[in-house]
Parts: sequence; C-alpha cells; structure tokens
Amino acid sequence: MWAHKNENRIVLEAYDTFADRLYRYAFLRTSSKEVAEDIVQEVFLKLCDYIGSGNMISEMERFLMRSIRNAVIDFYRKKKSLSLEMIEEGGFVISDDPDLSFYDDIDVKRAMRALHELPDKYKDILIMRFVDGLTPQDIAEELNESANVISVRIHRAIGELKKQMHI
Amino acid sequence: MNQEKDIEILLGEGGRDITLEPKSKARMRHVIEARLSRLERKTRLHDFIFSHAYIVRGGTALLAVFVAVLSVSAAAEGSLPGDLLYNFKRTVNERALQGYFGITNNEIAFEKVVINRRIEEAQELLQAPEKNKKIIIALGDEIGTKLELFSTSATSEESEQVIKDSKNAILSIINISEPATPEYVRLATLVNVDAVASGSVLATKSSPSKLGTTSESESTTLSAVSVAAPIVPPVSSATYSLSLSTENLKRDGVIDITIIGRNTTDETLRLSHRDSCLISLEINSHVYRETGECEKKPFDITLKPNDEVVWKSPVKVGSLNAGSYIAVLKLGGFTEKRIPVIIKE
Repeated sequence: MWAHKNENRIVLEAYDTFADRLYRYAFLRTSSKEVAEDIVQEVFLKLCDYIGSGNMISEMERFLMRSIRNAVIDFYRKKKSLSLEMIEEGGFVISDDPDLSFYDDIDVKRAMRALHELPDKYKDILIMRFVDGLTPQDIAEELNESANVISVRIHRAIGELKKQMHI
Repeated sequence: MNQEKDIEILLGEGGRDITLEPKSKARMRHVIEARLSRLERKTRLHDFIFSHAYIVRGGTALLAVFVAVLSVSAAAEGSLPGDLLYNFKRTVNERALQGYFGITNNEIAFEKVVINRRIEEAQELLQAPEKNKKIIIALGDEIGTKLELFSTSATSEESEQVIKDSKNAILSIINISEPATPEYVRLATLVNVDAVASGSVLATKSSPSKLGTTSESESTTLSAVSVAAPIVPPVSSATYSLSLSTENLKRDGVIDITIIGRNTTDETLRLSHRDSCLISLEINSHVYRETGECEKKPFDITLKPNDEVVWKSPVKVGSLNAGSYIAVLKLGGFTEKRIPVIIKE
C-alpha cells in the first residue's frame, strides 16, 4: 500500500540526486537533449508507478541505472523502426551527430565527439569510469564482470579514444 | 600528466557540463509530482474500496439479485397459466402490485387489476382453446370467484366495466367447455353471479312444500323446464343447481340439464324420483345409474351427509323463447333464482 508521504519523498529525493547522472547517461548515448530529457522523465515516471504498486527498492542507484540503460536500448529499437518508416515516407530522420554546441573548450568538445564515435562497449565504460566517476570495482558490480576485465576494457577504450582523437 | 589522466580530465569536464537545464529539471519535477499526486488519489480510492470490500461486495451482490429479480419479473409478466414463470407472476409480481395498492389504500383498484389480468390471460389462451381447455376453464372459474368477491366490495360504477368484461370472458369460456359437466355448470353459475351483481335477476321465495313446481310468478317456459327436475327431497336442506347449455339450446330440441347437489346437512336424506328421463345419476362421482337413452325409470336413493349427487337428464325445450327464464334451483333455503336464458337464433 502507498505510504503517501514516505513514497513521495523517496521518489523526489531519487530525482534530485540522480536526475543529472541519468540525463548525462542518456545524452551521451542519444546525442540529443530533448530525447535524453524524455528518457529521464520516463524512467522517473516508471519509478513512481513501480513504487506506487507497492514494490520496494533496496538499491535506488542501481535500479535507476538499469532503468536508464533499458530505456536507451528501447529508444534505439524504436528509433530504428521509426527511422525506417520516416525514410520510406521521405520525412524527418533523427541525426546521429552529437549536440556539442554547449562546450566552450575545444579539447573537451573533441574528446566528447571522439567518445561519441566509439563502439558502445568502449563508450559505456569510459562514461562510467570518467564521466560518472565510478571505480573499476563499481563498474564490475554494475556490469556483472570481474574488476580485471573492466580494467582491461578501460585500458583498451582509452586506446580507441586516443586513436579517434589522433593523439 | 599522463594520457589517461588527460582523458579523465577531458571526459570529466565534458561530463560535468552535461546537466539538465534548471528549467527542464523543474518542469520534469513538476510532472513527477503530478504523477505522484494522481497515484496517491488512486491509492486512497483503492484503500477505501479495500477497507470497505465487504460493503462493496454485499452491495454488488444485492444489485445483482435485484437486477435478476427485475429481469425475471419482466419476463414473467408475459407468461400464461402453464408457463414456467407463471407462478412468479402470480406470487412476486402480484404481491408487489398488492403492496403498491396497499400503500395507496386502494384494494378495489387492486382487485380490478387482478381480474383484468386474468381476463387478458383467458383471452390469450382462447386463441388456442382446444390446447388450453382445462387451463381456460380453471381460469374462468377463478375469474368468476374473484368477480364474486369483487362484486361485494365494489361500487356499481366501479364494477360495471369489470363485470361486463368478466361476463364476456366467462361466456367465451362456457362456449368451449363440455355441456353438462360440473365445470360447465360452475361457469354457468358464475355468470349467474355476474347477473346478481348487475341486478338483472329476480329472486323470489318459493313454497317449501313441493319441489319441482314453480312459484306462481314464473312463466310457462320455466314450468316446462322445472318439470324436468322433479326431485323431491324429504327435507329442504340439500342444495342443487340447474343449468343448461346455451350453445346447444334449440327451440324444439332437447337440452341436457345437470343438477349437482350436496347434502350439506348432518342427516341422511332420501332422494326419490318418479318420472324422470334419467340418463345418469352419480353419487360421489360413482355412477349410481346410467341409461343409454331416455328411459323414464323411477329411482329412490339416500344421501348421507356430505354426499354429492350429479344428475343428468335431457329436457325437451318445447316453446322456450328468447328472454324466457329457466330456473337455477338453490334448494338449501328453498330460494329460487331466475336468470335470463340467451337463445341464439
């Protein structure tokens, strides 16, 4: 049953704490502010429904990260079919170019563009490590891998990013 | 600074810049709060329903029963005697009607409605008279009985139309019943009841000394018929009724007359007959005597208390005319009533 005040507080606290991180995750994978906002909003609305149905969440951060990851995957699934329909109709196609206009620093902009060009498996791990600031151990727990595997993957991802940046 | 550190700094800086704009963040928070508020209302309703589940369930069950009774009631309204739902119509529907008229303190109106319902049923059944004969006759009997009760309590103005309708219904029913049967006689008697109610009967006291003779005021045609019923009981306490089939009545023909009587006294009565054209005589539904043709044979029987006698005999109509009278003899108090005979030309 809905313990009204308590549940409202949990959801809103989670929003205040994790909204930016979820947005960052979504933005870096969708390259669109609007899409990222929609995805984040959808994740929190689902959280409301989930808790409203009487479910308990022991680890909010992990729950939200799993939710945003699934939401982004869903977005790409929908985008594929949507784009195909739109191409057939000769209409609008969502651009894959990242919106990096808000970066003033040219090096940062370069790094972010290069990050965008990386395969997902490298991109995800670099975001988690350097953008979200997670340790290899945290990432390993989140992805159900060993810390060693994650460390090796981070090292390779850095190598790929450098190639992209021609460093 | 090593390269990994450079990458960390660049991505870290890039990442820190990726935040929700305050405006967007506030709008999104508002949307989430609205969803939470809606969920809260929904949950409160759910909580209420959950906590009052027994009331909701009970109410739903009551509503279902009410709807079911209403449906059956509506279906039963069109039912006729012999139908599955007819008992429902007679009990539930008509008790509800009675309740309604009881509230409005109008019992006469209720009786009137009930008689009209029975008449309507009879009319519908008369569409297939042969198939429904028994039911129709029973219905006619009921109409007459209710009419009798109604006639005693209703004013003449109120009763006029009901009596007219009932009489027509009973006459229609008489037409399909076998002449000279107890049912036939009963129905004919009921029409007599109708006649009493409408005030068209002349009732006179006859002399108790002799049965089989008529009062001085009677016409010759009545005498002719009366002669055919020369039963002379030793005491004047048995009740007999005399009837005839108006359908079979012909000017110069012979009509079957049935006399039904019951010894309502606590004495044994002697019933003798000297000059009867007897066809059959039954005592308590057992044939006492029966002849194939009209043979004038005297008989002499005794009737114990509560014995019932049915005597059937052909009577020559002779010179009966339209508007002639034939006697219905009610011998309990030696009261003789005369009802008009309808002769179809």
